[in-house]
Amino acid sequence: MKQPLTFDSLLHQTGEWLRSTGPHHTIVLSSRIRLARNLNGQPFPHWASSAQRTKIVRKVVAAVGKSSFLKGSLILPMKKLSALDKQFLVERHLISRDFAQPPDEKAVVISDREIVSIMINEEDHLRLQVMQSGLRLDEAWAILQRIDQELEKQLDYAFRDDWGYLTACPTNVGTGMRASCMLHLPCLVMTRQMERVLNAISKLGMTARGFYGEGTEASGNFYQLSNQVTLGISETDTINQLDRIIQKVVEQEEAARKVLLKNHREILEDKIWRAYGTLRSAAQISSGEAVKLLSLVRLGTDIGRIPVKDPALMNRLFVQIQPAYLQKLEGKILSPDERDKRRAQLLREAF
Amino acid sequence: MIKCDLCSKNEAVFHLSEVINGKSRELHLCESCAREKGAEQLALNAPLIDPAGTAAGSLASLLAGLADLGTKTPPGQKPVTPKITCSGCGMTFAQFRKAGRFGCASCYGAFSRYLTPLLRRIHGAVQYSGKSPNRKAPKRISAKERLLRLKTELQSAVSAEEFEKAAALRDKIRLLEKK
Repeated sequence: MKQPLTFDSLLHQTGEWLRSTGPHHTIVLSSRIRLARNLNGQPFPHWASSAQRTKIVRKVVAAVGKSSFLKGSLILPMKKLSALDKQFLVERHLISRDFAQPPDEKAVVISDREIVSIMINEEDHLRLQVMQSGLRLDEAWAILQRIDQELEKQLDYAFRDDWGYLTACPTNVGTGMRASCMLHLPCLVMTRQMERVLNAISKLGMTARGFYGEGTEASGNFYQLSNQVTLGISETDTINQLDRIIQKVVEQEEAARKVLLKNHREILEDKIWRAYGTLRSAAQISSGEAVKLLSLVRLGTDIGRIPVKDPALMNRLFVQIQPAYLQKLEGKILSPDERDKRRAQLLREAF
Repeated sequence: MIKCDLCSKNEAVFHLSEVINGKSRELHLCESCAREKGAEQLALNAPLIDPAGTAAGSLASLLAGLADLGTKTPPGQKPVTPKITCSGCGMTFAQFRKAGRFGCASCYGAFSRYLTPLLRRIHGAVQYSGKSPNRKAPKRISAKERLLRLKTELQSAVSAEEFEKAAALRDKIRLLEKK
């Protein structure tokens, strides 16, 4: 019998998107697509009263209850969550950082294996997202379409023939879709090619962000590449275009790895082994340092220098070294110093 | 839909832009022309020229010979903020401008006349292409909602100076309100 999903069960499971499977999974950590949807006749969350927002949550939750795909999903009202719990969900990419902020007439729906999450009353009434491991935008889109179709039977989506799905922000109107992939590009960074790649990407109508989305820095050599335009181009065209560009970037990262291994093998291996050594022996470590070193060790496992039994471990650790996860693991609030020690312990145990 | 700047037939799906000496130039290409011109390859493989990083050399050569692809906004034109209020949620156009976000889905109807240039600037297109909600039967809307929609339409008709349309809408509203 499958156990029903609970908040605490999230702590002991690995999200589908971290599983290190799917095409190009060594470089493409995960694929994600989100859709923005709104209801007719209801003010958008930022313009709604607290009573109106509560009503919207009720409406959407009722619709979710009728979806067969979302059966057994976890429905979490933000009101009932502590700041730590919210931060924990942000770290797992199940909610956005904005969503964790007040007001809290909001709710999030999380499906089995954390494949689907639906934020109710983020910038739009609904933000549906699907995450998959590796370069699998097509699969993500197929799942998302199914859920969207189920929900639209229950909800009166705001839509116009000329402008598509209507969203709170005009930058999302149309498909309301943001497709993105999380790429690990250490060798493009080392060979100082990132600026050129990012420039090229922006010229192709795509945009790059950090590990935790909009406004975050690229840490651990992770870059989230996504489409920018939502009007005038269909969902499948957007996905195909992004897919092609991602494959190009993957090729370039692979080429950079080859060049570095050919011309600077010792330097590269030295960096990787030193990072490995530090992670295995540190008594305390900040999340910034840990992310930096983990990136090198992840590269080391990709190119066969560091043997790892469980390839998903290298993905999981990026999420597990984050502050809220460590504190949930300990079951109490930890000071930054205590976290650095707990983090070092977790990493020593992992390697 | 933006047509491809090269073949003028297909829909442009690649939107390239660059800024040279403060002047921005845009190039919109369809998939086949982009492939032929190697825009993808070109952009990704362009040599690193400067930190401001424009890959300008290659793009400029691609743009060469394509006359007047500059922005269409006339210089020195002062933006005016029209006085419109969305009857759906009470948001004014000025408030929308300030917040950058709409108040509700009806705002799109209320402000429709002024949105086309904005959407073109953001997306390079003003016509939706993509899937539609698969609605079984048109939903019955309440008299109150219908009245609201008509009023919104009336407002945009008035601001668009479509007085005949506005008069017809006004009559419909009166009729509904009498009921």
